[in-house]
Amino acid sequence: MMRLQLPRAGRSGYGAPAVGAGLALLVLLPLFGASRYWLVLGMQVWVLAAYAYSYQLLFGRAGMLSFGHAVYFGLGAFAAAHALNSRALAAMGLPVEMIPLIGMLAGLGAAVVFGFPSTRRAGTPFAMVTLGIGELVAACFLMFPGFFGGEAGISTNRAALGGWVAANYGAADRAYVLIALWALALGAMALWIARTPLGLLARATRDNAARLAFCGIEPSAVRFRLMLVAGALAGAAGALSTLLNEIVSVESVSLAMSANVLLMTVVGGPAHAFGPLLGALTLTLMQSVLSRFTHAWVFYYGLMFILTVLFAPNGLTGIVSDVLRNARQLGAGGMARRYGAPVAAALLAGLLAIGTIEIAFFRDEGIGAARVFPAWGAAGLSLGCLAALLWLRRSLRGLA
Amino acid sequence: MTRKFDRRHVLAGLGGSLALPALGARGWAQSPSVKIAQLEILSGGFALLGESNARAVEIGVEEFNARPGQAVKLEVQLFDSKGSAQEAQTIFSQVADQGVRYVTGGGTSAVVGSLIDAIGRYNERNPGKEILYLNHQAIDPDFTNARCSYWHFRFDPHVLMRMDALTTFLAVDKSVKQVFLINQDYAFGHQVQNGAKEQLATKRRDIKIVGEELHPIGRVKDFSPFVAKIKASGADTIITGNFGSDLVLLIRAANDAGLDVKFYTYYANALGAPTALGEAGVGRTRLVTGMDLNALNPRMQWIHKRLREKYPKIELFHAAYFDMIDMLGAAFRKAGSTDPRAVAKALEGLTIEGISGEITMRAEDHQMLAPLFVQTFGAADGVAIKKGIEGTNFGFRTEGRFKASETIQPHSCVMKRPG
Amino acid sequence: MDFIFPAALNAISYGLLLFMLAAGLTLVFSLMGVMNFAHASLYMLGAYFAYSIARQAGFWVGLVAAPLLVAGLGMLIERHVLRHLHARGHIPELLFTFGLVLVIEEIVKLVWGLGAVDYRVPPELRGTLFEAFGTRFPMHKGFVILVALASLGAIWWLIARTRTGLVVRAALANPAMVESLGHDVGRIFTLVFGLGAGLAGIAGAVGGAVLVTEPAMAAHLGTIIFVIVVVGGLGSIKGAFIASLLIGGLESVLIAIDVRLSDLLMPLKGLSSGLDAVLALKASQLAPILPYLLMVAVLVFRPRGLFGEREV
Repeated sequence: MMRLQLPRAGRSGYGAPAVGAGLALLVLLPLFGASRYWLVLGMQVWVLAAYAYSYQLLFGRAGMLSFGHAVYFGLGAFAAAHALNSRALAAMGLPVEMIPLIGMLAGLGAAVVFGFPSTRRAGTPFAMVTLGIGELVAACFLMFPGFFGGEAGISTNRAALGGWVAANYGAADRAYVLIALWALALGAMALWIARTPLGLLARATRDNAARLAFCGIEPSAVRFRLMLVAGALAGAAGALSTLLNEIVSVESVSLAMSANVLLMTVVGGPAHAFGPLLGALTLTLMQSVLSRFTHAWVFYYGLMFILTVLFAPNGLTGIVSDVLRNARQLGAGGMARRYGAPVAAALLAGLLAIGTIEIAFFRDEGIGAARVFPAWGAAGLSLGCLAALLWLRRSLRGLA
Repeated sequence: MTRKFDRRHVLAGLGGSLALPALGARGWAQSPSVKIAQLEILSGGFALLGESNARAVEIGVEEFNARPGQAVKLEVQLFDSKGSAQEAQTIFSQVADQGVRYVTGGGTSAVVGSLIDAIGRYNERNPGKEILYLNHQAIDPDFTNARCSYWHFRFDPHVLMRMDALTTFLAVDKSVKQVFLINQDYAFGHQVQNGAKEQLATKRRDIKIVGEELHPIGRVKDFSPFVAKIKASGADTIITGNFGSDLVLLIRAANDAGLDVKFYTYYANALGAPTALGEAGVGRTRLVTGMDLNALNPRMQWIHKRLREKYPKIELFHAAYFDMIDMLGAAFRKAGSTDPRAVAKALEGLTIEGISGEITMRAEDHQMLAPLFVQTFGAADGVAIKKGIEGTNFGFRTEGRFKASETIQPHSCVMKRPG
Repeated sequence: MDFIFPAALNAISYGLLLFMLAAGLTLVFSLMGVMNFAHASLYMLGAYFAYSIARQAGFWVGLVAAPLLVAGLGMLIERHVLRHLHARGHIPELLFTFGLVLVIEEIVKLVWGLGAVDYRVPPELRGTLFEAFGTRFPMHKGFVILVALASLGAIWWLIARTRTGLVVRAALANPAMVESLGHDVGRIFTLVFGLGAGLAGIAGAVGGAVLVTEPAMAAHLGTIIFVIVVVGGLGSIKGAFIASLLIGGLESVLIAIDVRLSDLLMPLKGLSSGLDAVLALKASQLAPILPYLLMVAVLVFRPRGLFGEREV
């Protein structure tokens, strides 16, 4: 069972300031002369993190496994694009800082419409309905080019509207600060909602819906309200993505976008306050950096997801907090003795597996490692990988 | 030519994520060659197309650089846009950071459109660092009409130019009386459908459009209901812009049902269609293309042979890559510089000999005028059909030839020129 | 009439193919409560295995061997992974099978390439079965119907008429009781999962040859079979059967009838531009979204599905 872990920061004396300072540093990344590329990657992390926080509210708190969350994200993104392009809103003097509110409204509206049929049930049926609704909206996409802009999507310009604080947000560093602050606010909102009565009731619907119903509270009503909140937050995150990319296209409402948020939340840690942020960071790095080195990055990402589901139900943040807790108890030497062998075995097995895959599948391209190693190299590496796995198993036994 | 998917870096890359900040600057500095960032869809549903584009450009650049006396060499950096407009933005920001001034790539108009827009905004916000987009594949007429941009050059005849060649050829065939239009339900499919209707109405008033179908792209598993409908309509000819599995399945269903019609297509020479056509497609499947493989001039021969050696699975089916490379080289010479502003000016109105004939870059809308060919499917005999494609013994016989000057279509571009 | 009849036969052929998938999925679901997301991926593996085997040993060997391989793979997955996850509830199981979808698709791309492979029915199945109303009905479509009926008949016989089937049915109703009677329920689970996977494998070996064998084939069918299982009623084989034919036929029918929504809803025309965009659509353009509309409608108005015994 997943536990609700509230931010640890409040509990130890120096935690909160440290976390605050860390986040402040992240927000002020542009001050350290980060190039445009790293700013864009950073913005991507923030947008995805905001999106994942809204999803964590559903999945992490209420156990609602949605396969159609991109509906809210995407509709928010489209609404924001239309708002940025709208002459009427520009004439009214709508500042660009408020664009995420438009996305939020769109997400909320979508949640009112689609939330009702989907939240009537929990568990597997909920997953199926959200999948169906996700496909439905994605399939509608090309049918209504008027709103969705057809295959090419809708292009916009974030500097089209003026701002309150800055004159405009065309430059990457200014946009970065805007997006980072909004994402932080959305994340904080999601975490705050989790601690309100609604959030606690949501947890109760997951753990024991029958008892909740017995106490006179309709679980589906709780789920519906939670869906409204999550939809609104996802819509705002979608609007942030519009500000970042200045284009919205079919992928924003696609099944892949729904899958992404699920993968991020699970990999990052469905119950931890920093799970979504870490999940977003991992996905962005794999998608944008790792993908430059290997065609098989999606495979590695999927594998990582499966391993997380199997062995680390609390995600990467779960691993980190376990390690930190143990480190406090054991000290550096104890940690090395205890985890040295399994970690080394796991790393070795991972590297050998990657080597095997790269040689086995990219040999015919005749470049890089594939050319250095002969064909039987793959066989040798895979044997080595097997040995490393056996070693890992033995060392894990020693651990238990 | 350095390549991004260098397997040697994999282990280092995975182990050394600490070194990430250094990656940005790796290997770009102080090379005398001109760098071109190529964004193709190398993962997901369009990956085969992206792979073909990447390989063909790679070989084309190899051939270009190997020419004697080539002062300026090209260097292509390949990126995976994953078919995502968002991802394309990220890659673009990286490319811009590294000071690359030329971007190319094919794939969906969503990706290409987002890049053209991004480059427009970037050039506006960063004067003196302008970047050019060299479009070798996205043939949405909008890109050189309503959405035209000074920084975008298209080296591939767009949908309506191709349709013009196709319908001109079709109009000569008096046996065509009833035409059925079946297309994918998205921008390109709509353009093919509307273009066919408008052009047939002016060229052959007696031809009747007996049916129009738009079906969801990539989702139809069985085309037999459509084929039954086509059969019931009494059509003798089908015009379709379908490609990939949508074309393969349509042709298969037509063969199964014994539908005896002529197919006029855009993409019957690529991505599995020739394999699916087989014997049943002989003599009745036509396509419009910019690549006349049967001309087999020395350059084509060299590229074809090199592709066969290096990437036997990749077909030579598209001319725009090579015309793009040639035009760029010619523009460098004409401008005496590789600065994008000078090169853009030099490209306008430039006329050279391309891979399949004389080509001209129209200055008003940056649409290249290139020869087009209408070809018919048949058995490769080494004479009329020089090469079998996709490992089959079938290829395309060239029956209609249109010079660049015969493919001109009007445009509505109001070009915003800098300064 | 002249194209309704062949359209109906096409619908039956496609519907039965869908049913082979939906039957396995619903069987596994009713026994184990697991919605196997990777079911369509097993279908895809069936097609690719059959393709590889067919190249070496011929189509017919592939048709038999590929489903067996897929069934074996399914049993391994159940025995070594799903069983351990079961203790943690359904969500981790769902997540795991979801991850499998991703990984299997990538493996297929790595091993067999990004494009479609040339997997076709053998020459002896390429002819015309019969000709009616001016349209030929191809033999391979008849073959799909035959294989579907045969394999489903075999499953029915196995479950309804054999001793093993008796234990399976008992385990469906009351696993604890069956366990205490000395039967190994774990083995039954493995067996049923293997059976479902095997059905998907057969569907793949046949469907891949008749339709197209490509890395996207799992994604195309994956959500449709979920729709079928939900619309038919979770756990109801009969419901899955009806829903398969319904959804398989829906597309053909919508393509056959040539109406626009505006023809049906004339009075609504001109109320708003958004509505007009909807009304301008042709019935056939609605085909891809209708299954999902149907699913949402069923879940709202009849949550147990058409033939489900219990609410979903």
